[in-house]
Amino acid sequence: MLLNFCDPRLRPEIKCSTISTEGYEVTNLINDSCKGFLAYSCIKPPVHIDITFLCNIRINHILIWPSVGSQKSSGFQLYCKNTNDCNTPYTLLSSGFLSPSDAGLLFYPSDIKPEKIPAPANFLKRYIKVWIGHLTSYAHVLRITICKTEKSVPALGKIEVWGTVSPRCGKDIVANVYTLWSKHEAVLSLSTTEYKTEITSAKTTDNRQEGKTKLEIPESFKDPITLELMTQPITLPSGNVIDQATLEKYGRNEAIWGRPLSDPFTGIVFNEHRKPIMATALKSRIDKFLLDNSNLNEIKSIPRVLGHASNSAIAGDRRIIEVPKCVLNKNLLKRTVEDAKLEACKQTMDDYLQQTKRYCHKLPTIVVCSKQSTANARERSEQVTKISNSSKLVYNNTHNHIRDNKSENLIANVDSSLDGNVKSLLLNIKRFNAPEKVELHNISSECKCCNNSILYKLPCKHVICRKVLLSIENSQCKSCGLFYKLSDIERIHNSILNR
Amino acid sequence: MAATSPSKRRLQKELMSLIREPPPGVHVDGEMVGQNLTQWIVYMEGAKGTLYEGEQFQLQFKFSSKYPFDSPEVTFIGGNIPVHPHVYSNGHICLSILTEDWSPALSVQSICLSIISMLSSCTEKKRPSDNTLYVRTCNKNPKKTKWWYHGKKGIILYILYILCSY
Repeated sequence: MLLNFCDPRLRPEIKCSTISTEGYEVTNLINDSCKGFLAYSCIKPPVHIDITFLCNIRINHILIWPSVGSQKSSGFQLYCKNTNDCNTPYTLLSSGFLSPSDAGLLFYPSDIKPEKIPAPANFLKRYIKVWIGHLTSYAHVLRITICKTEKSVPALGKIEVWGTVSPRCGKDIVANVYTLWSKHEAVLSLSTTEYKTEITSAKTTDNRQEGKTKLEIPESFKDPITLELMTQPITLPSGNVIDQATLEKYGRNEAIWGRPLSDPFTGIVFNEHRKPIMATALKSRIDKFLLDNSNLNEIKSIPRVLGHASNSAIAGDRRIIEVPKCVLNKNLLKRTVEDAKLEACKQTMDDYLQQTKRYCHKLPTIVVCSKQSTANARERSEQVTKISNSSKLVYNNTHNHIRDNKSENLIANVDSSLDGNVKSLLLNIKRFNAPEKVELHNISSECKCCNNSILYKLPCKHVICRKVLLSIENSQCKSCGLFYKLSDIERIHNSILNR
Repeated sequence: MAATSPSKRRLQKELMSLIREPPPGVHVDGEMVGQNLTQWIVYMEGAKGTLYEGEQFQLQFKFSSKYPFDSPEVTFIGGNIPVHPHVYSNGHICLSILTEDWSPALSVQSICLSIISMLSSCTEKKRPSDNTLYVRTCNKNPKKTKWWYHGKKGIILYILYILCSY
């Protein structure tokens, strides 16, 4: 079987005696790129291109495509030597000068019949004399010299060096080369019939290279026991860093022997002073690494953590955002604003509070209209301020439907103080798409009818306490009269509100 | 070769390091182990200047899928089983790190070193006193034996755990 030793799978090395036009580097000839080599525009022949093969080869034939676009070289000389030693001189094998009608050049040792060589049409055929057969059967470095051009820059479209591993090489080398080649074959068979076009072949190579780039996880990020990437690195008293999960697993095994948790490296039991600590600095480096490589599949399968127990609020944040979404209901805004207008508020604040003392539930809910704004951040911030200006407090009096009897004064007072708070908080916020979070701080978690009550959110977005919820018999919101399903009630966690 | 499971990955790495820099007198047949990572044969040579100088031993390691959290099963195999007060004639070794005192921080290399040092510290070549009884009654797997380690005194008592009772 003949192999093309210029194929990238067989790892040839290529060098050129001159500089090249950008994008037409000499390495294009050995990496499946269809662009070819083009010397820099001011370069005149001769140009030497040296190809070093991974082993000594027996040359069967060499195919040269001389043109890149309209640039065409017309004279080539073929040299060769059998060692990589730079002091060894090159021996001239053959040369060929193309006429304008020739599409390419074929070199072959004269003991091979040119008819048997599958050369493209219109290729000039030049033989290599038999008496230098010792070189063609044991070639290590091949030099192609562009010695003549047709009023153009020296160019070389493509080169193929077909041959076999030299019979003088060891069996192991032969086996290695064939392994490399068979990998190539496998890839070729994967790519469809379209392989013939150069472009697709180039693409196939690219894809393969992408697939090959395996993620290198730095050793320091790996757990020394399991050799997996650490998600929660901890430093043991012995100084070793392992993953929290590994220690837990080790602890379970130790428990089987009835032993307390100890350092797996020293066996010394942990105590108040000798205990593992979080390797925070390493953790942040690992997190950065994960973030940088988050597009890789290997990384996607690695479990993530959301901080440890003390800052688990990160997880809570999502829920926090959910609550105000309900508040951002436009219908609710309309209704409450209209209601507020209709209301004739006759009672003073004191009266109101007295009344609420029974079963009343005074939970101010902020109503914010949700306008989708794609404008810039400044506009957004202004809008947010406007929104908070327009926000109203709605007191959900669930006992006797007197939610509407609050004074304008009260609303005004609370509004202004609330707006002040919101504005001051907004100034410190960089992300304007999450104003909800801020307003939530202002939702009082205190229930007036009971201390430390558990709060629930009805599907109509009204918030009531557990006591009130249990007092409702017909599954109808006392504030807006909406019927709800018991399954739709959501508990609001106090920890979020109190944050 | 892509090692997928954690135990495989760890074994792969240990094999590489054992092939690359083995402890003195220890070598492993990488090709054989490469075929089946869960069962290794490690060749060991008695250290110079000890009673076992010039002797060749074979150690068999069997790893469970829980390795490194679970200790490997280590026995001497082959024709030459060292005559040692802690080694039974069926190849079972009475060494605490192989069962109770195992730690995932230990490795094949550290086991090999422990066994070499155990052999090297021997002053009198003899079988354990309860050898005949143990060999007749023990389980094939040395890990099923409940050992009673008596440290340097060299007196070993054991209680057999009969598998059937599980």
